[in-house]
Amino acid sequence: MLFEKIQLESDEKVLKLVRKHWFVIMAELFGTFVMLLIPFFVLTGFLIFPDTLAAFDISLSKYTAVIAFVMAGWLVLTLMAGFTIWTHYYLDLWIITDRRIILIDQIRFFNRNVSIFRLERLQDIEFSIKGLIPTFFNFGTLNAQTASHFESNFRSAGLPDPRGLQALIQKATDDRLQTLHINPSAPLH
Amino acid sequence: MQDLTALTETTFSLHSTLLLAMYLTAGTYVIFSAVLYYHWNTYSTDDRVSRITLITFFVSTFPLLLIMGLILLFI
Repeated sequence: MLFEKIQLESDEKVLKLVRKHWFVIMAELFGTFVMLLIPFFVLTGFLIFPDTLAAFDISLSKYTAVIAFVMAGWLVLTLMAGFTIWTHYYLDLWIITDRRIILIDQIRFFNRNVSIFRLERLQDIEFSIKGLIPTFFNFGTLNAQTASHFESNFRSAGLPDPRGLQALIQKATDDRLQTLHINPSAPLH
Repeated sequence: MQDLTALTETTFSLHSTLLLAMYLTAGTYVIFSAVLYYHWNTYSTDDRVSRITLITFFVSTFPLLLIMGLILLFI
């Protein structure tokens, strides 16, 4: 499991696990669902308008087994596409702890980015909600900037309640800085 | 000069075409299943969700492959 690999510090608390908004996955899965239904639509079309096939001298009853075979194959491939979308959705997440933020970006099956930055290194965090649907369903993009030599910008789109997330991260950062200020010997790494 | 009448025409029967499609689908399915299993086992945060996802995947897809195989047997 993932947490065994990340290895949280001894008294580190996970504040929140954030995945993309349900609308994002629903929109993607809707496309797969439509693809799943395509052969049934085509078949229904041929059953409603049998003259179309008769013009080409093709009889559906003669190719029942072939049609069933092709449909089963189509369904297998479409379901595989659907499970790919679900896997990418579920494995793509932000883990906000009281010490750091871990960003896991599952782009494809063999393309996975894991970025970790400590809250005391956070310089700026901003969110944006653009468009009618994101405003209505309250999801948007969160952009975090850190004081790092490497990639200093972390950006993720389609996150639910970005305003609440920004507030949570800001509060966690303030708490962390206060802890470090009061007790400078607190573990940094 | 090459005798063109000596060239044989290659034809694919419906059965062999479907057999090829079956092999390709089954191959893709096996590789995909292994990749899916690996990802859910390695990167998931919740054991229960992993189990439900993998069971749903195999329950929904394996019978379809079985149907494809059975159709090939009787075609």
